[in-house]
Amino acid sequence: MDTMTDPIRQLGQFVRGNIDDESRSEDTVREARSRFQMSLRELRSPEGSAFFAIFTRPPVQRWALGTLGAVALCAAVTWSVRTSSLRNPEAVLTVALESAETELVGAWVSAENETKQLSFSDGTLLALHPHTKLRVRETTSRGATVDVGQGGTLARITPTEGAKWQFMAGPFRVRVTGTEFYLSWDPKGQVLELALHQGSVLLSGPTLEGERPVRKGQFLRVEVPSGVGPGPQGSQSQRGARGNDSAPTTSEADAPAKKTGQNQPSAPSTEPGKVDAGASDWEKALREGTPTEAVSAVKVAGESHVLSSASSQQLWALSQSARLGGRPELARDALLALRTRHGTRGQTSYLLGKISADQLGATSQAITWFETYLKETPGGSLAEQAMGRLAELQVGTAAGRRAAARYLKHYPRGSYANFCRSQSR
Amino acid sequence: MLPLSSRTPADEKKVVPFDTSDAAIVRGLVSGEIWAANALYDRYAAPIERMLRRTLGYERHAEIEDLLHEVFVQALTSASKIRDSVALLAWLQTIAARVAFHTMRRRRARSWLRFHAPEQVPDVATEDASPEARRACASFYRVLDRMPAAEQLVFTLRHVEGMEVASVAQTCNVSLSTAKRRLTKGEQRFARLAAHEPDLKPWIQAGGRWTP
Repeated sequence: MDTMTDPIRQLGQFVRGNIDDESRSEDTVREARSRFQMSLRELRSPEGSAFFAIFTRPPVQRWALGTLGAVALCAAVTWSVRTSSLRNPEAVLTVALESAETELVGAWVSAENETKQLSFSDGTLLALHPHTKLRVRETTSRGATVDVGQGGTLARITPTEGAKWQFMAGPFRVRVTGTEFYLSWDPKGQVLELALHQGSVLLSGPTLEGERPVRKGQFLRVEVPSGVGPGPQGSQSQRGARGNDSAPTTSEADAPAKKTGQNQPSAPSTEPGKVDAGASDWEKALREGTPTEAVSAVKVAGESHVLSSASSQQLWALSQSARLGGRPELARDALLALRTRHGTRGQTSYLLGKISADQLGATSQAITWFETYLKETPGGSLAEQAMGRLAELQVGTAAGRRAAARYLKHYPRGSYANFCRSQSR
Repeated sequence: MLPLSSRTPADEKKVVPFDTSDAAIVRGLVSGEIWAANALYDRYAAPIERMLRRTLGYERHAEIEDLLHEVFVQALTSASKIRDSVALLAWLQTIAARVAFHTMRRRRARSWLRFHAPEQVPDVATEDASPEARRACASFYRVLDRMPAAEQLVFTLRHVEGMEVASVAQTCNVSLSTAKRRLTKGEQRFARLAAHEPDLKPWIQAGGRWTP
């Protein structure tokens, strides 16, 4: 190695470390993907056959057709951009089963002993696992409504601007914009399973007040107890398999359910009447978007009383409103109550670390809580942040250098990477 | 319901290849499957974006997006040229290198029309780096802009992207000896030019890591 190359190589590595910007790169990739999707739509022939075919012909034809195609492509893209506001905004999506263009909207598709593939014209794919029944209820220019009557499907929704997809599984509704997830519904056992591979979705259904976000890496299993009865949506899915068109509505989603989840506090469970009127006041205030009033209402009702009697959902909401409303002690106590009374692990420990570090100034406690989070959920969605915070909190110490090294090992391009590199020098 | 792992070989023919191999993507591209185009993008857009950013440096965000789009459209229109299914990334890198090379040349052509001094070129597109680091990066790419495009491409692929020389040659579609020759010339030229840049001088003269 000559003497000149080494400093240049080191300089190149330094530049690479500083110019890589993961969040910006993700934005660029996502935005370019939308344009790529548009190009794909423009490039596909009207019959739905692939445009690539012309490029796989013999060389002479390929040369001529390739030139013509390139010109046509430029013209088409330019024309598309310039006239996009004058045209029909976007055609309604079409759907094909195993590449066969048949009328599928409204019809139930069954995958008996084999996996089947549904592909939409925007590139979205649904893989129906064996023994799955599924129906595309309707399609729009931005997405579709899909009923999962039984079984599981792996879905990869193409992220496009304004995408609107929803999946109905028994009494549950999953709202999607662009993501990849696995969703299954067992109508006999009344069990829903949802695993997010990419992106996030909003889940609504029995006992879920409003819509609950489920994010990348999270797995949710919701089991409706058989003793409660199938409920209106449970029976709906059974009816749906025979062609009923009625969709589940949130007003029907009131049946009690038993849930288990990972990486997040357990889903809220409705326990009416457990908390006194004061608690109801703060909950009402919270729903109205006034966390300060909510926290004040808890004070009136008695903090210890609320903390010892509130449901997990109420404790979670209380901790969030207290944390954001400048009451870190109350937020900490609510999170501790979640852990001790409801056994909620994972995100609670991360938030306890964050509150200890940022609001209470208790560095050693914060370190303990972040370490606890990493032990409880090593691959959790907040693991990167927890590792970064540990390196930050212990800066200048041997433990801090070890934390920085651990962070870089797992997240060499993470948001704390530059900081951690500076610690290891 | 059966898990994915329990599929029979016959089922595989009809399975949506979510965990597709490169070979399946190639077959899909050749047969014009739309999922293959999407899978190609999803799998390789990030590394190609990084390569473009590292090669071109301070390019504005929107232009990198344009170039990334261009790489994949070019890839689709030349899908029939793929010979080795395991070299999808290398194939895309070759296309990206070509796109980057033409961008460098276009930039030089347009530079005659600039009405601002070279010092006013856009800064490095990073928010986390310190001001000193940003200045060093800006100086780095400013020096590169004064080099011939062919040398700049080989130099950045080798020293910023971190490719081996053989891979650089393959990516640039030149012989190994040509790549080595361009690299040597590029290094000499870079060292000569960087010696006049205050932010790069410590690197070149001290031969060590830059420290603020």
